[in-house]
Amino acid sequence: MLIRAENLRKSYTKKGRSGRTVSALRETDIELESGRLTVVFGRSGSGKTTLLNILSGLVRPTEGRVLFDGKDIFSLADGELSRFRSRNIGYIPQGQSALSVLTVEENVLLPASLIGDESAAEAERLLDIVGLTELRNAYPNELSGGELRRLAVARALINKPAVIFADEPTNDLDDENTRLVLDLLKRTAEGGKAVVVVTHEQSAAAYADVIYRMDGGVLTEGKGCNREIA
Amino acid sequence: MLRKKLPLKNLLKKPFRTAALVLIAAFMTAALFGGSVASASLQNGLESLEKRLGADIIVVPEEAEAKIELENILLQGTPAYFYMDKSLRERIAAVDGVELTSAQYFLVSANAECCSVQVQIIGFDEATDFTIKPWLKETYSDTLGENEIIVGSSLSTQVGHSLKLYGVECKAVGKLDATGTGLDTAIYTTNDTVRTLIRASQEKGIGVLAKQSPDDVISSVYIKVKDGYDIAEVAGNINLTVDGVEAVRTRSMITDTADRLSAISGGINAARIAVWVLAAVIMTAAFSVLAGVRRREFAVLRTIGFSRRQLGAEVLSESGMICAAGIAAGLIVTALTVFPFGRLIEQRTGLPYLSPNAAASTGYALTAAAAVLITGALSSAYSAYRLSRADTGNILREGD
Repeated sequence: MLIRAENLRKSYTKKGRSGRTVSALRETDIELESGRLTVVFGRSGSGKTTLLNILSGLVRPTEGRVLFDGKDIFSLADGELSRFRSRNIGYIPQGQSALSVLTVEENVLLPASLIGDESAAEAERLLDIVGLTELRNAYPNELSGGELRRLAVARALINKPAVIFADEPTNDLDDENTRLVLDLLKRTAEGGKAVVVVTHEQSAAAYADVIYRMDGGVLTEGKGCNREIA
Repeated sequence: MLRKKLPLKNLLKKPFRTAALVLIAAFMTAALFGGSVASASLQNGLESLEKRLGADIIVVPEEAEAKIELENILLQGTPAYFYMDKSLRERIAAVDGVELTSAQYFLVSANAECCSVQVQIIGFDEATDFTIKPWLKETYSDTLGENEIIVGSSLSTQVGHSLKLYGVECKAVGKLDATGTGLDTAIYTTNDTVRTLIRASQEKGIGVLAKQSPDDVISSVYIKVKDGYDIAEVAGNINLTVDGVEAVRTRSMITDTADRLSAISGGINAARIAVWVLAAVIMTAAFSVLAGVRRREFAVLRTIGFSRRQLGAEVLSESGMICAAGIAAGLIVTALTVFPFGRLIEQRTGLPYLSPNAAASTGYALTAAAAVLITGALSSAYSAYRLSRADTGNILREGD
């Protein structure tokens, strides 16, 4: 699947008396291809999460459009867009994102229930890949930070989406878990999916096929050695 | 499907939060349903009393307590007796405008087999009666024979069974419909049987009322006024022309009761509305607080692919389940308290109390359930809207 964003802009009006308009994302174009791991580096507040949320259809841009195989996802009504997102987009949010009332296996299966395809075998396969088979009946409060992040990866993959978006997937993780999560994402990209990671984790550069840098809402593509760009 | 089970799982995994909300819904249901039933029961009791008395005027002895005691018999079932000369009935019947008269004789039993307390025995004249037989629920074909009785609806004695009064075996041949009044605990029989009972009491050495036989005295006279006559005027004429009696318009006797009932019903309605409003405010506040607490959870659901409508449905499903559980609990608690304790309520309020029939009760239950469901839905609607419209990106960032 080819994902292309054209002329994206996002500005917010600040709450409060000032009512100031803040430009979170300046005019941006980006193209994402299947089979590649794209990493977007940037400081906190640089606009990288805003870009990710727009690309994944969660946040509507002020201007511009996002095309999935030529189809503008923001031309869809909320219900249609949500259905499209649940089938085609896997999203790994920042921080802890497991639902506390569901077991590990149920958390993984929840997105599948949205498209009416709850395959326990697929959940089991993914739990095996992310190393959580033993914990399938555990609740999120019994898991470590790294395990929770791997659970989020498995959940994002359950519907076999074409593209995975990961927002700071290694934040607060130790080196071992950081490596595990980035390995998983790299293998996912190698499996034919487009994977986009926004992070400030320098080590992610080693896994990237394409690197971007976001600064003050401006996206620039990195050239040369990955580590230097990061 | 897991998505459909999610609201229930959310509720079950947060038992204290859920229990508190269910309790509020149950309280609201109990107030609405219980209030409706209690109010309707009092209204039914009054209407039934009015119909049941079946007379336009009731005449009792002039002595001050007689009227009060009659009210006690009618409203609270407190057994009592008072007498006036039997010949007064003919004089009353002769008053212009009086169409029908029927005398009754009141006797108080010793503890009978049927009952743990004394019961009111009412001797009536079958030939002239127009107030008792129309209310026979299970009727008998002939006139009352020797030692045959008709029992009020609240007495446990069944038709065909017997009970002993002063040691005399009396057979129940009829049972009256429920009225919600003291008349439900009375026993009705002929004056011949009353005489037998008095004789039996004398033989047993109880000696109750030995000098006041139904041959000589009566307790009250029920009067039907001829069409075209003013009831108040006829009652006034009786009071003027017949010494030693007090003629009371049945309606005026009920007026005091109606006034008290109106005040109590008003209080019940006010309490019902107050509980409803209070519960609605608490529920709205609770759902609103929960919406704030659960913003991140709903943002995560949004990232998974939940649509705004599905998020709203999630909140409304939870509120619906909470209300459903509250409704079930509230209806059960009300059914277990208001219906069985109707007699106690009657005694405490001193008002006739007749529970609505099954169809009407079902109607009140359904109305209360609908009101609670709608209140729950409205209370959570704003939270559902807020959560479904929240900026997912911002919420996810706030969490970290």
